[in-house]
Amino acid sequence: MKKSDDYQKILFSSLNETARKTFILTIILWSLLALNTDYNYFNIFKDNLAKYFGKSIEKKREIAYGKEYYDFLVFAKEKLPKEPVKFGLISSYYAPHLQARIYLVPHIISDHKKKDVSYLLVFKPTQEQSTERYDFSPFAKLDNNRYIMKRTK
Amino acid sequence: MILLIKLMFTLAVPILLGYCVIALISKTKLRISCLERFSLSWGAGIGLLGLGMFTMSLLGISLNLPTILIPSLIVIIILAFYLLANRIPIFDMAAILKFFISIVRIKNIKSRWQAIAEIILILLIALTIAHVFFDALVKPLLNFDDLWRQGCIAKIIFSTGKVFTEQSVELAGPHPYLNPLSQAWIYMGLGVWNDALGKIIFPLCFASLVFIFYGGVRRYTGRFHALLFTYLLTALPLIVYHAGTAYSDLMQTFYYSAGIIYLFHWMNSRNDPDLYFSAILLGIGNFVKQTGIPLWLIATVVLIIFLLIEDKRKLKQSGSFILISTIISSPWLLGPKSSLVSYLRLYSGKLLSLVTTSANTASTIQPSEPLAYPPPTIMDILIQLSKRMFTYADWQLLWFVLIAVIVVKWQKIIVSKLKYLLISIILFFAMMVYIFSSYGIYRFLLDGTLVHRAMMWQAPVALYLIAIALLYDDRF
Repeated sequence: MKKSDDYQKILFSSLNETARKTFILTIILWSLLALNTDYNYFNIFKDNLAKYFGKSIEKKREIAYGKEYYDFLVFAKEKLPKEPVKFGLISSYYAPHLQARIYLVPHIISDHKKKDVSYLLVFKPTQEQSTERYDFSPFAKLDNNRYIMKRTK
Repeated sequence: MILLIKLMFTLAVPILLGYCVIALISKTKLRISCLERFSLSWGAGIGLLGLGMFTMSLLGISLNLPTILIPSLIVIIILAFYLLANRIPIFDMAAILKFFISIVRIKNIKSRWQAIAEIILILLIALTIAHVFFDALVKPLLNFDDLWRQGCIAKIIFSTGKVFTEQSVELAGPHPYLNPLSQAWIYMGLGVWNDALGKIIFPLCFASLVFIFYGGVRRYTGRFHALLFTYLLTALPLIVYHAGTAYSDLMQTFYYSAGIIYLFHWMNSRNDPDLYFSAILLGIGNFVKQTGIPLWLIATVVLIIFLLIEDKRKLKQSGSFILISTIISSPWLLGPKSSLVSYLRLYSGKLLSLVTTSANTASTIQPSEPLAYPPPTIMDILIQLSKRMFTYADWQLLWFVLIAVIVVKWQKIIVSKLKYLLISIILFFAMMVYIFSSYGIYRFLLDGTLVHRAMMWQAPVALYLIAIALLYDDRF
C-alpha cells in the first residue's frame, strides 16, 4: 500500500513537473508569436508614417478618400445650401456613400429615387448611370464626370 | 500646437470628473498605482460625461461646449470641495512618489537577467501603446462602421447639437451612444471636426485596459509575471487593431474586462471601493453597445453566485452593485431609446405572436421563403466557434492555453475564487451560443464579422484567469 502511495506521489510530481515545463515552453512560444506581431505593428507604423504623418487633416482625408473624390466632396459642400438637405449619390465607385455621408453632415444622404431628395451628386457614373433619365437637372459642375443635379419635379 | 493644447484641456475635463468620483468612492487612501488611478478616472469620467450629455439631450438641452463644460466644471468643483471639506485625500503623494521611484529603481529582483527581461517587457508594452496612439491619431476615420455609424453620429451631434435627429436615430438604431458622444465631445473641445484626433478616446481606453490589467495581475504576483502577461495582452492583434479604429468594441472590452477584474478584486479583498468601481465600469458598459446589458447581467449573476456560496449574509452587497450600475446607466436603460425597452418590447411582441400563432389554426401560417442554409444546431455553433477560436491568428495561443490551464489547474481553480472568473467565461460563451442560435445572427458567425469582436470582449478576462491560475498560490 505504502509502495503504491509513493508511486502515485512520484507520478503526480513528475506530471506536475512536465506540466510546468510545458507551460513555460508554451509561454515562450507565445511570446515569440507576440514578437512577430510587434514586427507587424512596426510595418503598419512605417506605412502610416509615410502615408499620413505631418500632413493636415484635409490632406489626410484626400489621401484616404482619393483626391478626385475628396475634391468633389469639398465642391459639393460649397455648393449645397447652408440648411440641411437630402441628397442622393450615384457613382461607378464601390460604396462612395460612406465618405459622402460623414463629410457632408448635416446634409442627409438618401436613396435618390425618393421624392424628398433634392440634390443628386454624380461622381464618375457608369455608362448606364450617365444615360439614365432622372428627375433632376444640372445644378453645379466640377467637370464632366463630377457634377451636382437638382430635383425639378 | 494650439489644437494639441485644446485637446489636452478637452481630455482633462472627463479625467478630472472621473478622478473626483474615484477619490470620493475610495474615501481613504487608494491602494492602487498612479497608472491604475488614471485609467479608472478616464473610464469613469468619459462614461459619466457621455451619460450626462445624453441626459441633457433627453431634456432638450442643445449640446455645445459651454452647455457641457459649465455643468461639468460645477460638478468637479463641488466634488473637489466635498473631498477637501471631508479631508478625503485627493492626491496620494506617496503613491505618486512610489510610482516615479519604481520607474528608476528596479527592486526585489532575483537576477540581472530578470531585470533585463523586465526592462525589455516595459519597452515592448510602451512601444505598443505608443503605436496604438500613433495608429489612431495619424489617420482619419477609414473603417466601415466608423464612417457609416459611430463617426457619422458623432459629427451629427457636433454639427447640430442634438443626439436625436432623423439621420442619427436611423443610423444608431437600437445601439447606445457613448462612442459617438465621446467623439463629439472631443470635436466640441477642439472647435472643429477633426476625425483623426477624435479617435483619441480609443487608445486611451486601450492604455487604461493595459494599466488596469497590469495592476490586477500585479496585486497577486510578482512584477515580471505581471509584465509578461500584460505584454501578451498588448500583443493580441485584434485588440490593438480596434484601438486604432472608432468601433465600439474596444470600449466594450475595456469596460467589461476592467469591471470583471475589479469584481474579482472585491471577491478577494472585500474592499468595498473595488465593488463600486466594478459597478460603475459595468454600468457604463451598458451605454457602449447593446451587448453591454447581457455582459452586465453575467457579472451580476457571478456576484450573486459568489455571495450564495461564500457569504449569504452579505447578499445585500449584490443589491448595492445592481443599484449603482443601474443608477449610472439609467438614462440609457430606462430612457425612451434604450435597449432594455427595445428588448422588452421585442420579447413581449414575440410572446404575443407566439400566443396568437398557437391560438390560430395551422392553415393561417404563411409559407416562409426558402432558407439560405439550414437553421443552426448547438453543435454547428460550437464547431464554428471552435474554428474561430483556434484557427485564427487574432488570438494566438490564448484559447489553447486557457483550456490547458483549466484542465491542469482544475482542482486549484475550483477550490479558489478563480472559479468565479471561470464562471464568467462559461456564462459568456453560453451567451454567445444563445445569440448565434438565432438564424439571422448565425450568419455573422459564419462570415466572422461579429464573432471575433465578441470574443475580444472576453479575451482580457480569459488572459487574466490564465495569468493568475498559472501563478496560483494559497492566497486565493
